[in-house]
Amino acid sequence: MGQKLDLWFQPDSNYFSLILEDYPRGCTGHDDETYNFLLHLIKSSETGKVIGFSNEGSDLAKDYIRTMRLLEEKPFPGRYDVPQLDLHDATLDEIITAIYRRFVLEEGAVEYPTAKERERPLPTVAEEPNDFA
Amino acid sequence: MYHKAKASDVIEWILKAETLAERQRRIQHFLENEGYSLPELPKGVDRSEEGHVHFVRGRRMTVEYAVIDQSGRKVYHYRENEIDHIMLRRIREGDEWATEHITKIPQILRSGRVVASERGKVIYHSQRRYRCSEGNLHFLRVIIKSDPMGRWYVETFYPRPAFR
Repeated sequence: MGQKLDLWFQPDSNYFSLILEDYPRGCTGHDDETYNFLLHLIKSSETGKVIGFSNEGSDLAKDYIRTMRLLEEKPFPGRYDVPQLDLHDATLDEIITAIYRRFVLEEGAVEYPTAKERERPLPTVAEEPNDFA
Repeated sequence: MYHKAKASDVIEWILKAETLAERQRRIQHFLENEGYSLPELPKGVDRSEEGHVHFVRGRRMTVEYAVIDQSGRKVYHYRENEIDHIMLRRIREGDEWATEHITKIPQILRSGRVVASERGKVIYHSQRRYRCSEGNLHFLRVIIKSDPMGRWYVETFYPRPAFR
């Protein structure tokens, strides 16, 4: 089980915000530079802890690939549950991909493998064929 | 009243109001309960087109004012954007304290520092730092974008901690 994130999506601007359900309200500010202004880390001003994420000022339809590339270069640690997406124990890049597929590509609900299934090693070929050049 | 309320519940309550005026009234009610107030009207801006309607991404937007930024761009600020995007997002993300400073947007566009720029998008950073109710200092950032007609508008506004 990950920490629970609450999702809000505004379709007219392809904006999303994911906020920890149990964060104590207080002053927050945006760290917008870690992910090059495309993905914001919303931090408690008091503790500096990340209490959520948003794509304030960017557009998920246009910026999805660039955002994924940044997350690949600098993965954000942690696993989260997002009930609105039926996602459990998911990483931030998996969550953003689910938002993109459901709300931008309008694929509808997307089924994701569970964390256990994700960790299962990929099937491998027992032996390389002899004629492999 | 709202201190224990989840931001998502507050947003849901605000969005149940069908008109912009009613949503603004509910935001005002929320802010006052949190010890803040709605921003005052900014001074020294061009209001000659106030009330004109533009369409941004297919959505009707009403001009509140325009301001000439430091690069000579005419930047529009829309009423719908201020209420439904900037204010609702600030409440949602726990930085509603910054709504009182929305009135600083023209000043930031005229004299702020450009921290990032790409085709059709510029990010401004305030010269001054602003203190939130818990005492921590923040800079304010404004993002402007251009629509397909080449018209610039304020996309959003948010606080960034002065010390990270």
